[in-house]
Amino acid sequence: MKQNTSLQWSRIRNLLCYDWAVDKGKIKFTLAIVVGLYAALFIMAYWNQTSMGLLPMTPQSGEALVTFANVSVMNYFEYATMIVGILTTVILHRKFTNPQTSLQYLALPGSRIEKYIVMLADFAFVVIGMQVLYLVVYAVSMLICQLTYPEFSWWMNPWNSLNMAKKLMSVTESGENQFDVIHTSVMRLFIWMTPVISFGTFGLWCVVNMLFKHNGILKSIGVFLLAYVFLVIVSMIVMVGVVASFAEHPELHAPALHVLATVIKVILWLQIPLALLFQWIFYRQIANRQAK
Amino acid sequence: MIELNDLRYGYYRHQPVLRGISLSLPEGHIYGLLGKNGVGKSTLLKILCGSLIGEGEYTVAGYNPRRQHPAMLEKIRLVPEAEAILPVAVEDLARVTAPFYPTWNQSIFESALNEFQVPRNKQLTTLSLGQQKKALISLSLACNTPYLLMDEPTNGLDIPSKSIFRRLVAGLCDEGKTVIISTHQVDDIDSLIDRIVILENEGVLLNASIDEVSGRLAFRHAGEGDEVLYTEGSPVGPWSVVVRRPDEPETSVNMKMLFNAVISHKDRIRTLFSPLED
Repeated sequence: MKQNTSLQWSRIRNLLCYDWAVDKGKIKFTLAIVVGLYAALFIMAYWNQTSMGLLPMTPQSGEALVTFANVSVMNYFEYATMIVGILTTVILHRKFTNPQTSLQYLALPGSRIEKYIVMLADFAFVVIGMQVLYLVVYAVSMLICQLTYPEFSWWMNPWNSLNMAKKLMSVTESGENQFDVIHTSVMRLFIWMTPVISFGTFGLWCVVNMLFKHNGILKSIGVFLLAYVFLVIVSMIVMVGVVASFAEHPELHAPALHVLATVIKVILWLQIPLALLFQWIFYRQIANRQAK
Repeated sequence: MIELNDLRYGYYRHQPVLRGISLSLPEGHIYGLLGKNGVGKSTLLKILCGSLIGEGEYTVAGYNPRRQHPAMLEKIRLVPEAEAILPVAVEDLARVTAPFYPTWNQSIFESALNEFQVPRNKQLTTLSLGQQKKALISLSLACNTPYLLMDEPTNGLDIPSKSIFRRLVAGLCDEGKTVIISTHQVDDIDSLIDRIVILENEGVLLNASIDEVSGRLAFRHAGEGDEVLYTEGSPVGPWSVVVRRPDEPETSVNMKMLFNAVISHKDRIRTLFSPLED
């Protein structure tokens, strides 16, 4: 048994070495695209704020920086996630449905499970890369905010993300325009839904692929985009509903916020395992498709 | 031993490529796999190595290829007709491929590269088509697996390289390995193979050794009373495939003419060779 386990790990290691050796060019290219994309989006967001006369930082433009860090960068991150998602889709699609590469890869001696593990490692590489970059962007934004306008730094804490609802309460009571506050609250919640949307998109993509077998790369991207748009719309509707219900039923705030905060935290923690699960389902259906 | 029993496969549901192939391929031979375009030769090879999953019963070395069991995949190596060319050096590809094959033989790899004169430290993508092919053939030979499947291996090879290829593969056969070569370039392998399999979508037209073919058929000018299966023009007059008379000497097998004779007289060929196939 111990020898079998050792043999399996040895084969997985060999598959990973093979995978890296044959695909390191593509992996580096993807990473370069991802890093470049993030850098470009960050610069664009910064330039956008600067051109509006809100930067460099002054106490008066502190809120603008919060907007920049909190909404602009995060919104650009949303677009970046979509683009990176499409790139990942293209690469995985080409890698595992292209008859030449799949022939070469599948014909190597290794069990299907061992190959799934390597494929998951591929996807985890991209996912973790995205998360790391996201955290870097977030940390930089938070640092700038902390250094220049400490009053707003709590606003950036992910674990306090739902504190905006408390803010909503206080400003609503103070008579501030309720629509603007709800809008801001929806955007804040929506930003934290980003990983859920991204990985939900992969999940939907897998399900659609399973139900409607196809091999076309354009169809694959189309399915990804449709799934993405669908989830964005659903998320927005849900978030508007949640925030609006908070405004209408103040007595529900405390328990509802507690449940929502717990759910979002759990999803945030589970996003990578969930992504891996979705991807495992995807690879299994690719293998099944080949089996048919 | 490779055994196929009613093997079926189609890339699309209503367009089957293989429609019930039954075949037995004992070990220790070099098989020439021939057939018209689209009869499923390449598909068959991919099914045997587990990359495509066919319907029906089929085994390779006692394993079911559809399970892609590592113990089976270690024993079989396919040289596809068109392989994705990787941006790695030949020696690097060998380094990452070798651990998968317990029978890997570095000296075979070195000597094949030397004979083919393939540079080992250059990226595959920078090599010419012929050089790439030679590198991949060297790699597959070095895997030293009991089963070696080759799909159009001589495409793109120059004339001296074809001779080297024949010599290297013939050397492997001495070690009791099973080699299946699918090709349309029958001249490249006619002195190499010892058994011939001719395939069509519906089944196997011929599965016989070269000795069996030369025992049953003669390749010569047709005379009076000969049963002629196929005739074509040549510089020395019409040349025919005829049913060999019991008292006449055996002639060498002309693969191209044999193929044409089999295609044009399927039923007669089945009758002639059926006792041998059983």
